[in-house]
Amino acid sequence: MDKALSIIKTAAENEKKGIAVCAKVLYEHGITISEAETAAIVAAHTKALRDSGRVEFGEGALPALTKAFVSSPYITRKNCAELLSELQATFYFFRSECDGLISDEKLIAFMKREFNGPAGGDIGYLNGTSMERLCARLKGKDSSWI
Amino acid sequence: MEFSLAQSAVLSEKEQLLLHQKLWSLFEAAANEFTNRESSSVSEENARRLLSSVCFILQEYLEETGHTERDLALGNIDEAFKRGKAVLLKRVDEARELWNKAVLTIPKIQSRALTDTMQGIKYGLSHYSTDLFAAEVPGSIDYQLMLPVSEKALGIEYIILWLRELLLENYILSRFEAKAVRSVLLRVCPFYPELIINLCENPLQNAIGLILLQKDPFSLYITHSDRLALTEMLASLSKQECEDLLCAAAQKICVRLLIPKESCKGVEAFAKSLAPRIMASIPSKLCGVFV
Repeated sequence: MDKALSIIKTAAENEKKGIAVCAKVLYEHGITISEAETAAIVAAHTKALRDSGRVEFGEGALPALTKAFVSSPYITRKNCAELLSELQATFYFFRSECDGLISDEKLIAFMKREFNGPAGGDIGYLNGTSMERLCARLKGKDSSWI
Repeated sequence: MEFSLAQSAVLSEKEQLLLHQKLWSLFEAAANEFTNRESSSVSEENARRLLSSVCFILQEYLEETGHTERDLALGNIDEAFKRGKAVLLKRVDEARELWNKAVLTIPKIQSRALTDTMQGIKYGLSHYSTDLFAAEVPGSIDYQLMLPVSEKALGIEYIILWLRELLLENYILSRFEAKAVRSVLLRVCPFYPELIINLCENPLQNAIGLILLQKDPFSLYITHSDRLALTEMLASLSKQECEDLLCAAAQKICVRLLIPKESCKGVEAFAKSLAPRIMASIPSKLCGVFV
């Protein structure tokens, strides 16, 4: 990330806000994550942003992702930290691919529907099939299918 | 310059942190507007553009008011930002006035690149927004000036500097007969109206050459013998000596052409910049330098 941006972003402490909301939402659904798991989610968040070449502001997408997926039948206490990390990677990658073509809210709603539905909780299917199909449709300017 | 606000050496650590937090809040507001509040992230490229715009607007405010980065860190940055945008709007008006003057003074010499550029700037000025990407140069500029504007100039400031330079070039060209200028350009290339070449450079180069030969600069006509004489004059000079000679010739040109004092530095800088090309063209008897 650009040096000036990274200097200023450090002052914002966005990540702390996002992870705090994430932990709260999980707790409200009976899931308590350890410090190590929190650190892993934060690390995955940083990596996902860096890999997708994006800069986040406000609370970021993590709270919205957590709220959308916490009640998924495929999320458990054991796998939630890992799943959230992977879902972040999916979200930011396809956020970049479809930049300007779909809102965060609709993108997350689509991911949830597909993950809980045709993907059957399989991240590989979500990434390789559902999301690729979404991008192709959006780039062909067809958002009616979402 | 655009990011000097983010890395100020004059602020204490605490003041820097305060300033960074405030810059971030302005950046967030801009990013929200850019994404129409539909996303919580932007690409790094757009983030850079948005932050650059925020810093540019604040820089305009600081230059206009004489306030400092410390004032921004400790004061009301939203108010400073608002006033910075107001400064930019005044600069847009200034740019429009310069554009109008430039259009009226453009010489009657065809140049598609110049025509397209002026239209591009006009369009850019009418669509210039202080809200999101104020640091970006409005309009598309193909026409190359004799003395390029510094790439460090941003947004509307770049356009103002560009138009001022063009006004100087228009003035210089107006001192010569259009027929003489066209003859020079035709010798450069018969298709000059369709090329992206500067209209003023070659005529001014010839005028400088004629001044060096103590001939009438207004004819703009350099013969083969003139080129040989110039080659003999310049061949054995060092780079510094060549630059000094060209600078002196430029000063004489400024007097002959009645160029305002504040613009003479530009003409001198242009003349000095010919030295490397002259030295490289000595073997070819200055072909391509004096046409």
